[in-house]
Amino acid sequence: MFGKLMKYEMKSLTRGLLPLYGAILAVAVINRVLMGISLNSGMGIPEVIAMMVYFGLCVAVGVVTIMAVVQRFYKGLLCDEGYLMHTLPVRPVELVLSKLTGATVMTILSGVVGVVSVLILMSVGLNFVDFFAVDWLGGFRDLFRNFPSWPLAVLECLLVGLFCVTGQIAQLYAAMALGHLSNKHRVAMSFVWYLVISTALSALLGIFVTVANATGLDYWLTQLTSAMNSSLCLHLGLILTVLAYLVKTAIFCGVTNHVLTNKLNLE
Amino acid sequence: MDEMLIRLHGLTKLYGSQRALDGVDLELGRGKIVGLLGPNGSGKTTMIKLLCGLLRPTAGEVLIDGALPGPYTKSVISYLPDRMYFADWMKTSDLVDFFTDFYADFDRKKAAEMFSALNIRPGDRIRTMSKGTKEKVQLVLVMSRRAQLYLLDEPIAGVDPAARDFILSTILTNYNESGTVLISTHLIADVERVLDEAVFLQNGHVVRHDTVDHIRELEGKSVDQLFREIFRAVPYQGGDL
Repeated sequence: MFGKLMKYEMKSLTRGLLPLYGAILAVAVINRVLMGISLNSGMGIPEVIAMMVYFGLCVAVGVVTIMAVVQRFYKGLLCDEGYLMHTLPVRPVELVLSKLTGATVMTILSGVVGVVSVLILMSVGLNFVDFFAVDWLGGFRDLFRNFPSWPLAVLECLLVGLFCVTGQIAQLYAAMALGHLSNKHRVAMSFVWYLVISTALSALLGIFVTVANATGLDYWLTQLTSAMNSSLCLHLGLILTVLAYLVKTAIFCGVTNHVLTNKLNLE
Repeated sequence: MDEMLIRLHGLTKLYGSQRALDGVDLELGRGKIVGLLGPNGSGKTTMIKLLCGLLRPTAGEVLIDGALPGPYTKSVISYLPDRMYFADWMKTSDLVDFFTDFYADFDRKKAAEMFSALNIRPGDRIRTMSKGTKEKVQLVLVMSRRAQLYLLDEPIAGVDPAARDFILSTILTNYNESGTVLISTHLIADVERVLDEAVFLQNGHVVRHDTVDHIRELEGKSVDQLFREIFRAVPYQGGDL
């Protein structure tokens, strides 16, 4: 059933975002061509307009992605569409995870499209002869020699990015689910819950740092990390960050699932 | 298989301090068309939402075919809510695919035939449909399932008499006869002819549960007349000054 939920979630999410992705990449290519033409003559009005359209689309992709993530959860599970979704023969946790997976995929895709569009723009003036003349193989060989576990570090960085996104989205979901418990002003209460959760997370971090200072834990941590080699230290740091975001995601998904399973109150 | 399709024990639902249902005990068997009758605010929609798992009871228990509300009960219940529950970007064909994917008892062929009879094309988008057509689409999908329990919340409220006839005949000709249909309404005269049993709800209590034949025999009056008697409200006729 999870696969079927994902099928409809992706269909719904991509409907609005894919045309925007196409537009942003097309405008980036137009900008690239115009910049290539005006490389020696300076920017004219068409180039300025094209660049403004590009930045406008970048903002639009960001805003539409956030709106889609919020709306797909709020309208899909807590408003009228919830009457359909919550009467499907699936467990609430499957509904939450399908929304989370779809939203994460689209957020990452929006980021990737943004990066690709920037790369298209940056390719102005790139000389492919020079590009391929660089000794890439030798560079990788040096990298392996100096930092053999770099592919693992890249993977860990990607996981940090992935679970940072899931943690943020799960926090949004938990805020909306908790806001839904109010009998009135549910949207406003969702905002309030988001602020409360964010403040609580900041306070927790502050308390941890204060306690670490007061108990000398930070001193021991400094001693410990200086005793390790830098590569091990980096991996440990990245893995702990991944774990922290995973725990955050699990806790907020758990809260959301608890509300939808035990406190569902569709009006 | 539980002999009784629905068992409610001490079912209570509070909204804040307001009691929507108050200790309801009720058992309903299989293969019946049952009217859930009561004025506005008597608790009909709350009871239906509790049965299909959209609300959690404050106290008491709901059992459908011996099971608490969950994926199994949802797989045997076909629910028609009192509102549109589809995303408006979907087409009729998307909805048919959706029901085919999630409900093993959905009869795709029957739905296609009913849509065709109503001149609703597979490519028609929900967004472009009139309110009446949207309601028909929803009814067709719900009645194209061979469910054990059909929960129909106010299916004939707010529609013209011709549409009421269409809705009732669609229900009668398409429901799974070994299943039970629970219709909530306050428009008794329109549904009385199709009912086997009637459950009267008042202020969150079941005040009467009987077969329609027995009511007529015992009371010597129609269910509609009995309803008006039970729920008669005395109009305000001005105060003494």
